[in-house]
Amino acid sequence: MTNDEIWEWMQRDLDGDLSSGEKQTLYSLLQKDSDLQLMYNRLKNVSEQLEQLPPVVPSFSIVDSILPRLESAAAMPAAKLIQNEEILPTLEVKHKSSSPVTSKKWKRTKVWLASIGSTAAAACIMIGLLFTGSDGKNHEIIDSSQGAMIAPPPIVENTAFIGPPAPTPSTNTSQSINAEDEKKPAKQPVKKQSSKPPANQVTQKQDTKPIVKPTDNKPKAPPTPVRQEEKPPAFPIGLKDNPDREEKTSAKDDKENDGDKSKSNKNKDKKDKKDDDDDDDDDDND
Amino acid sequence: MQEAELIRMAQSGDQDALVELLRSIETSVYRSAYYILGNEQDALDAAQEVLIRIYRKLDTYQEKAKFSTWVQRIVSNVCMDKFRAKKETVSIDEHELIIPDRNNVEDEILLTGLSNDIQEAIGRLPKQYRMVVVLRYLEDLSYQEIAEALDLPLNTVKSYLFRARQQLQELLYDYQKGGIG
Repeated sequence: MTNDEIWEWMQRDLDGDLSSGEKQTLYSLLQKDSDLQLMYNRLKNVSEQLEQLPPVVPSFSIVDSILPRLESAAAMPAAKLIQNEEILPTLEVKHKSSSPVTSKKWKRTKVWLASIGSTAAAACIMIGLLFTGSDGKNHEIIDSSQGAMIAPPPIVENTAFIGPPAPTPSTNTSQSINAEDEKKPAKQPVKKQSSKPPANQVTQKQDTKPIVKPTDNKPKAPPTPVRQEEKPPAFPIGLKDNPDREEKTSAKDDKENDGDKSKSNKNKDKKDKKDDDDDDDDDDND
Repeated sequence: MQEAELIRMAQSGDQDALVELLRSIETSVYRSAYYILGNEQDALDAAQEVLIRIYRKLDTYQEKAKFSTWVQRIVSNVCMDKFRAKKETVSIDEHELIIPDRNNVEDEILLTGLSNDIQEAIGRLPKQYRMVVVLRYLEDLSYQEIAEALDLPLNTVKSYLFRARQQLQELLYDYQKGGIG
């Protein structure tokens, strides 16, 4: 038997864990070895001191000190927890029974929300379509409404190439013409010299009458290109008048320069333009 | 009234039985906490915490285990929490600067020199050894009950207890020689 095994038997003997036979064996070994006996006595002394430790007692009742906390709402006693556990199944049953009602209500709300959403989406689409459709129509309407005042784009391009580069300012032709009349005295002699053959006046009056009346009401000399360049361009309001003036001026120049051939060609162009303008007027009337 | 009947009544919702049950274990809880933690104030705090836990978790107790073992398990858990909290915060007064209050229970222990030495020697043991010794000698639990209370293997409990006694014997021998003050 080793010293470690003897030491373990000593410890077990202090705890009363040895049988009677083991005790006799241990005591016989201790009688033979004084060192083992000394160790055993020391251990037994420690064990006796531990057994004789004074029983300490709290200076006040700990239960009484914690009773307010235990009885407070925060402290849930175990018994109440058990009662709650017993109640839980009934709560689950109630929850199950109430769940269909809530689910029906929820479904109804879902249906309402879905219908509202779908109607809103449809309304948005319809409004969008109306706006997009009306935008095209509006463009057409604007074009047609302004057709009386504005010449169509191809004519503008033609006039730009034909006439002088400077565009005429605005539709208020009377004012512009009056202003021109006020400025005319300095240039009137030039125009008097170059223009006013009777045939040209007749042809111009015949050509311009159906198109633009203000120009027809003023048979005086048409605006010179130089003055037109000085005026700021006012697109698209005065576009219709400009081609006529440009055509008039160009026609006059042509008359002065080329003669009857150019007159006939430009008269054809003017007729085409008139036809286009008439078409536009018809569209406006429609 | 017997302990088992008190437990059943408390578990069924009897508040008076629950309070009476707590009163019956109050002293043993405080004693264990006192010898494990080593001072009165920590022992009082730990005892309060233990009793509150028992009050709240009594429904989880099953009669398979001994009630005292179940209670001491809670005591050891609370004391371990105290050790951890003390280690995280302040560790100055763990070994030194313990100023005894002359009007508390510690004076009664100081009256006997032997108990003073053994108490100081217990305070020098490792925590696990200290718990095993306290449960063995102050709560009079068997090896198996200590193993259940501390959730340790039986051989580990024996080993802790034997080594604790050996260390205590060496410490007390040094005290007698006047080596350690």
